[in-house]
Amino acid sequence: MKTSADSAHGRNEAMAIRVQHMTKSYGNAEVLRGIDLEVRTGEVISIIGPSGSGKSTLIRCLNLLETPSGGTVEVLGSLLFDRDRIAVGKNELRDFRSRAGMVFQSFNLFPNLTALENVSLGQIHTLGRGRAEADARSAELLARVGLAERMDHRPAELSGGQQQRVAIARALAMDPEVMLFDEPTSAIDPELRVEVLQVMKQLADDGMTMIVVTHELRFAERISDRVVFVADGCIVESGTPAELFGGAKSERLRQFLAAVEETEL
Amino acid sequence: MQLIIDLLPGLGLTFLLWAGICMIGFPLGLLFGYALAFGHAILRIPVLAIVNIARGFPGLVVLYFVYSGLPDVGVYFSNTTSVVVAFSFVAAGYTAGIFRAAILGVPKQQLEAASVLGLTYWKTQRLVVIPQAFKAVLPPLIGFSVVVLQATSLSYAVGLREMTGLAYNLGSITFEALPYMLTTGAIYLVVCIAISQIAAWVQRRSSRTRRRATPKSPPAPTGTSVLRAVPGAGS
Amino acid sequence: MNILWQLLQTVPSTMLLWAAAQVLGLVLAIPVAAARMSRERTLRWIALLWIEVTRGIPTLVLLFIVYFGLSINDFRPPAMTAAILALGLSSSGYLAESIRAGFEAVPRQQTEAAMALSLPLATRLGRVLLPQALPIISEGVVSYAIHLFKETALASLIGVIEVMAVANYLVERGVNGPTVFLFTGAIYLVGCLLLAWLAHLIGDSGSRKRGKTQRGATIAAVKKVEVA
Repeated sequence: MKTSADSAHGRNEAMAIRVQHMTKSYGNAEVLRGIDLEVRTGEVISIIGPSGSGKSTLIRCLNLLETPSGGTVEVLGSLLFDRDRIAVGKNELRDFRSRAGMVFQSFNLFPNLTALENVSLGQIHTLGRGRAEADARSAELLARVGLAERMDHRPAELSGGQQQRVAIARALAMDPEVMLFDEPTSAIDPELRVEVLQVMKQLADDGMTMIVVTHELRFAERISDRVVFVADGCIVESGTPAELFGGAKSERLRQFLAAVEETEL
Repeated sequence: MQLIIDLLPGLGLTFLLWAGICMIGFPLGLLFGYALAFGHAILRIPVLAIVNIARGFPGLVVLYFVYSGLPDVGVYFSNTTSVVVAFSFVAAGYTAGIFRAAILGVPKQQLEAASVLGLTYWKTQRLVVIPQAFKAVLPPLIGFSVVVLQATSLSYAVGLREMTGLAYNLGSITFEALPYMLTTGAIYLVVCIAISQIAAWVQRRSSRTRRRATPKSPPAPTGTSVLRAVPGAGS
Repeated sequence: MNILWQLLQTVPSTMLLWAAAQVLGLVLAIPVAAARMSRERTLRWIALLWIEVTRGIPTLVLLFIVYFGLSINDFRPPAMTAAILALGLSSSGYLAESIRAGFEAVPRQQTEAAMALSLPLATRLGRVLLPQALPIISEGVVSYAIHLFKETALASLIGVIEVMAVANYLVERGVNGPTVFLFTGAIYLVGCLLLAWLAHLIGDSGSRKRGKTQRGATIAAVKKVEVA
């Protein structure tokens, strides 16, 4: 699925995401201290780092699930947050959100609906598609993630890996230009993670612009164009996978990678 | 026994009152519940006051207020209407809490999922919140309806011949108050147990096909290991 | 105001009824709860029956049953006695369930640990299980106490002179209905709020102790065993 280039915005033409000096505090606790990030259309960025580093907060600020405390956030040509204030109205924000798909750590499928209905819901009620059209598209997407036979099952009848794949299909059903993944495999049993990672890899290969917050370092290494290492609320290091995993420049990153290696087989 | 037959008309009226109170009180409770869950302070404070009065006043007091008190300001209700009005008010007060808890019990993540799909506030309520809250609301609501059924016995105080009033009446005429009262008690007991059993059966049936966890727990981390035990699941 | 004063005069009566019924209810609830949790099937069923009956029969009907049950020929029992008895019976079922809920909330591992340490039954019960069950039991007892306070109004229907009875008397004498009943209701409401607040206070100080109690109870029990 090729993403369309954004409407011309001068030199931001191919810039899917532009974050400048974003900060986020909860009361006195500073979670994000001045994040600068640029993501081009078609790029796959992985965000890695220790727990509590602010990774999740970062990605949730990109679609305003969390409101930043300062800075500028521009996504897909829409100025979301500017000069310490939200810059979009409620309707605009809703429109924008369907263009930026999000996949959550805890899947968040609607328990009272089948997989098919889950994937169709947004299409019908936000995009205004007819039920038949939406269901056809949903079936197609579910087949793509390998769940054709499970279409009529409810989330409770699906494994973690299956639920997450449905969640991905649900986000894709909105024809997004950007996909945000917030630790998509952290809540899934290790042996079921592969199926989700495979779907994500396919998406990346098809050219989707993706931001992935993850603990799966090997996976990040394989699919990313760029890897960003976040610790204590700052971007400590960023570069290609080869640069970061091959020979880390910063002490902090080296510490992190060493600690992770200790726990892996 | 003959006693039971004598009391049947009373039981009929009891059921009628029960139905009336639930059909008026529960929707009203839902409105109160929504107001408490999402309303602005201007709405929440008066509703909170009303709910506290409905729950803090004994049902008998509310009943007397409607039946004996209101006439002094020119509002007259028949004894039947008084019972329904008074107890619907009380039921609304109690169920407001039940509804509020169910609405707020839908996990925040569900609302987030709905918002990233671009659903409007009202669509989210209709398609995501209410269906999930409904399942949480049913058990306590049925439990409470049993309380309502028992409360109808207070109609005796305003001279209504539902089962308790009828039993007392028949008892005083025949000087066999105790047998009538015991039978009345037994009938209430049987009906209440029957309702509870039916409710439990419905619960079991719906949880066989649906998720066992309450809406409060997020689907994910527990979901995977629980599903291992469910046949047919698993990748 | 005069009305309020007249109503308040019978509050002691209400409180007596409430307190006595509560105590009676607890006293009855303990053996019932014990039976409910026992290993003897018969005992469990009897307890279950008791609980279902006392909870399934409306309080007013129970009041009548006790009142007429104690009446022989022309003898009528003192209304207050009958009321206390009836309300006490009615309470016992709910309170027994509260007690059971409290004990069932204590994790099984606690019982298993106590048995593994060969603690005698009394110690196991008194020093390990009860302290942990108490917070939940208290919650149930207090919440029922609040409910019971409102139920005392029903006693007026079998002739007990408490707040509700006075209210009706006043209205019959021509005093403005809405005013009287609003005051009456307010008295009950205030009573309930006070009880709830008290419960909150006890609950808070209880939870501060609770953290120590779980470990403390097991440790204390172990110490006793070691000394013996």
